[in-house]
Amino acid sequence: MRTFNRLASLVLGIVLFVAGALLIAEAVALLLHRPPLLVPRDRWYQSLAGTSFGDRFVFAAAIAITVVGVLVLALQLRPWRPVRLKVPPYEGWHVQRHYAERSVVSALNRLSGVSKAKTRLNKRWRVRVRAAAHSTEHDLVAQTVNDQLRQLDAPDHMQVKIRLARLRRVV
Amino acid sequence: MTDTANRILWIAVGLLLTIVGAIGIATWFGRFPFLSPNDVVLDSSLVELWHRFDPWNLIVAGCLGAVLIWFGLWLFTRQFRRRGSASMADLTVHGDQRAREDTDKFDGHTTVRARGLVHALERDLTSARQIAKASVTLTGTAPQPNAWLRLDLARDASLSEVRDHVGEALTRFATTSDIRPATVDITVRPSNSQPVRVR
Repeated sequence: MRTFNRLASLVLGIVLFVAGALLIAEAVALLLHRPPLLVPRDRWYQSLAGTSFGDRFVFAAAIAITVVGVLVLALQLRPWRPVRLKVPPYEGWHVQRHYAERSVVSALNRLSGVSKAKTRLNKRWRVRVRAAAHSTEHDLVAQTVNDQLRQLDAPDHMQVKIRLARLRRVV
Repeated sequence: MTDTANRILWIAVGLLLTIVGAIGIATWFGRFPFLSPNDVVLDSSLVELWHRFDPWNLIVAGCLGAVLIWFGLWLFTRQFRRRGSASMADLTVHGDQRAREDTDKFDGHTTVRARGLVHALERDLTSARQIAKASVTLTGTAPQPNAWLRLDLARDASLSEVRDHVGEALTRFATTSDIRPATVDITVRPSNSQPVRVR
């Protein structure tokens, strides 16, 4: 979403620039009594002056604008997963979440009897781990996750939730 | 422009669109107190206002266009500054007064490229085994810029060791260049590489 926002802002910048340039060009054309460059002024004026707010086209446009507005608001206001996690006691130090998750997954997949590990970290250092392994491997998985994140100075209040699923045997 | 600034911008855009759309819907149903469904979109009073201020109306339109161009350019260029402010400029050190007195002709200055300083700090950071790669950005103005460090850790590197090394590297940097960052923002990227197998 962050990249999408950046690209959308780039496009908005270009649109505003073009609109401004067009506005100046049309104003100069009007001042010099020249025909309009791109925007047909008379047709544009007549159609707006002849359309009332009760018109169904206005209603359709209002619904479309509302839907787009609500969609933009929903996308922006929903909680985003953090890019970085603060390392609480050390001012200015952060760990990139995605890389931390990948390092935990990599450490788990190196264990014998553990595979298909998946990890999710949130900004409060709550860790959810899912992996395919026997339930007897629970302590080993917990220890590995703990060791891996302690290396990154994870805070003491870190919480680890582990769900292990048995691998299906191929008959 | 930072990610947060972009998010705030798009919240404002979303809010504006929602309000305009809601007013249009409310007017269509005759529930908006200031407009009626029979009102035309472009009212004749607006057109009269436009003609009354002729030719100033065109000057106002031109100024509005200039503002749009400026804002569009500003928004576009700001997207390439992820940290929110420009990179630190090159350092220029002028010859001091004492040197001038000693040698009459001395009146020079030394320019230190900011890029060179950044590379020096990056090289110092990666001199430690625990740091595989370092990327440094200095923003703001010398001698107290803001430093943004991104460190790719080597496998099994611990953050406490890395922290000690970064502290030492920043101290060395301050001693050599006389630049003491006002704020230091450090992002660490742990490694996920597999251990090397030895046969």
